[in-house]
Amino acid sequence: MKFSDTIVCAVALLSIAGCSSNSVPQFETSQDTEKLFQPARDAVESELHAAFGTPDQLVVWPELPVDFGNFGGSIEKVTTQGTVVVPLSGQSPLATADRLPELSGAAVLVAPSGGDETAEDGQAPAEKAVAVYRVAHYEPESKSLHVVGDDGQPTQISATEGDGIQIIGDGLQKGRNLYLRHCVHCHGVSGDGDGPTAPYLKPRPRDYRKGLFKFTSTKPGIRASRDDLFRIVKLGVPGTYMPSFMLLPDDEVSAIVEYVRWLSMRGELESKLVVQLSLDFSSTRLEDESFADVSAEFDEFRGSDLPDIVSSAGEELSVDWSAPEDPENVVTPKEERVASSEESIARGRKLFLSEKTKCYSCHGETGAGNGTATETINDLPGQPGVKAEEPGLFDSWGQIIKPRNLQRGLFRGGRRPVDIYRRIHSGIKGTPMQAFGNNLSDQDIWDLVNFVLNVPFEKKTQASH
Amino acid sequence: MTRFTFAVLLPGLALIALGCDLNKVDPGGGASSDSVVTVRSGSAASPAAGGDSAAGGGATTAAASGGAPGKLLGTIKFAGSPPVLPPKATQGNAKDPAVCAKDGDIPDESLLVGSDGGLQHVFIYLDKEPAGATAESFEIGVFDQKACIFTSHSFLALAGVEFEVRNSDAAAHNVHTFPQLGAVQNFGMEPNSSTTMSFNKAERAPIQIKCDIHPWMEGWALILDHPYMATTDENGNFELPELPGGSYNVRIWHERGAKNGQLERAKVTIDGETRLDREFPAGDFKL
Repeated sequence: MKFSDTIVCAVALLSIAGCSSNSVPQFETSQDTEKLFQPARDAVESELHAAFGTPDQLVVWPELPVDFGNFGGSIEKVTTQGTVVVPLSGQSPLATADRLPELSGAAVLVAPSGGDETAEDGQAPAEKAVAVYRVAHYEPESKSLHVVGDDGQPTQISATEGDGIQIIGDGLQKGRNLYLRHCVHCHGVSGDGDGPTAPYLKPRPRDYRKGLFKFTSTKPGIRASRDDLFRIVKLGVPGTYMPSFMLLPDDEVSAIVEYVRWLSMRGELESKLVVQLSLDFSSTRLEDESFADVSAEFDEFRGSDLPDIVSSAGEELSVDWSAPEDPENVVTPKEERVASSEESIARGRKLFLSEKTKCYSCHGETGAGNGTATETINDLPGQPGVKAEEPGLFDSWGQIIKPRNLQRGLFRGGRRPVDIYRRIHSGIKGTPMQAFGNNLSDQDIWDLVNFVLNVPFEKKTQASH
Repeated sequence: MTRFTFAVLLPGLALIALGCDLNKVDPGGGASSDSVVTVRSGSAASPAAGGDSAAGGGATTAAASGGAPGKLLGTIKFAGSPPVLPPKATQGNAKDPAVCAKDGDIPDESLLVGSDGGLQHVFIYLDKEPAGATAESFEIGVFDQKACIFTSHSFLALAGVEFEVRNSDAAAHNVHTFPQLGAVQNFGMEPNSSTTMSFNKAERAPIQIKCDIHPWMEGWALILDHPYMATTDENGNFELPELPGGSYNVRIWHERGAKNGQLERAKVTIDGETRLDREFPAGDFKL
């Protein structure tokens, strides 16, 4: 073979093998965490690692309101050799029957059932110890589950008839794989909206770590529901770089949504811990005091205060992220939509331009997004007296945000009338767009919806009053 | 065939031969590792690694015994002559001029220093609820908006307790809170209206409240689980409710404090009526 042929072959083969850097995805700490003094920063990292792990080693704990695609069942019979007979059924959309044969190695939790004893005073029964094993093999026909110990060694399962079995599925791992394939390049490994593509995008990709998502169907103060995130992934966000993933099957989108929620919870835990630590243990304290003094104080704090802070943060996560799934927390119009008509649109326009709502002060008198609020130069968030470089209001992620230009007819959160109803009723979380549900009736809001949907069709020269 | 065709075809054939399964869900982006799930029983709380668990239970401070109960009061001052801050809006030049800055400039309230140095709108509060203290909860004031200014630039509230919010202006405002631990609130208020609200969680330090329609409007609110908090008046004077005798940590916080607002965390010992007076130099502030 000639030399040039060898070169060609080498290049061709390299293109198959690739340059394997063997890189492993890792979570990054936030900028706020990095302002803490080193022992405090280490404590935050270690709590996060204990509660969430790494992108390669996902940690699950019972109260975590994340769907791992678990299978559950009640033990029917315990045989002699570390096998139990238990009919398993999926407990969520991510736990599909085809996953059952793949469960080898999955964690098995055995929760002893002790009947419905309530302690005196009517308090909840004390938590019973949960034993952890690993699946060796599951036979769906005989419903026979063989387990080994958590360390992989053969072991005798200690359980009785009637105990509950829960097998941690691989739904979240599937979500993780899909996220690393489809989402990480914009949204980042830690969900901080700072992936490799992010610097080239405006608006920036969402930073999940505040637990804040703009386009939700839930009431103010409530997190986004799984449905809301599902819609965003499936439909995309028109007018931004977030594409529609309509071609992904539903179960894959659900898995991605679970992983996004998991990343968001991790980010929230980090910021809660940092808020509790930043007043007393930020690195600026070392300017005035010795490392030894601050360390001694931190060691005491870590023993006496930090465990409570971490455990109540965990409980809050559990409550906050389960609440959106409650239908009570979804904004549902009490009155049916007022049919769009010239009269309704005229009423809507009157409200839009009224002093009661002052929609025009941000969205402009013709809805072009050029109201007077976009002309003032404001202080940078968190820095009094330091002016921003460009005029406008800020969103909760520290970016200048422009009021929507209604003339374009592009609505990022969806263009169904109920979507626009929800934006007006509850505001848009993380932005200056306020909630009007307290001072506007449903009829008023529907009139505004009809007006807003009609703005793209109005002649641009139309007078504002 | 030409070398070029060869170079293009060979990888393709090799891929097919190696059975590159495009349906297999693999992590992309250079991540070559797979994932495992580990189980941790219980909640997120982990025993603090390497720390002493001696003290335990951090919600309340154990006040040292001895010392008569008494109030903590004092004066907070700004040392030296403060910079004069320009007004946020001058008379007749604000948005909604019929209502805002109608009768005068809108002052910048972020550094209000009295004639003898007293610093207004400083928050003084216990960082933890004192054990055994029996002060009755105080009455939360009304949070009002007048002439496009929040009437309480420094506001005190108890977590979970409702209070009245008013818009006494002929212009619409919105109340947009920026908590660090609790839930964000952002609702509009039409002219001459009133409603109630509450803050759902105690915070570690005062949080900001703004109006987005009139962006100069801002105030600060401290939300705690206990009533041992106060703000300084125009002379820099403050007074906390009566406390059992003992030793406490007291935070002194101002919106322009250079270290996340905290000017000092003082250790005070209450023995009868006790004074806490401070004078902070310009270097302690963001100016």
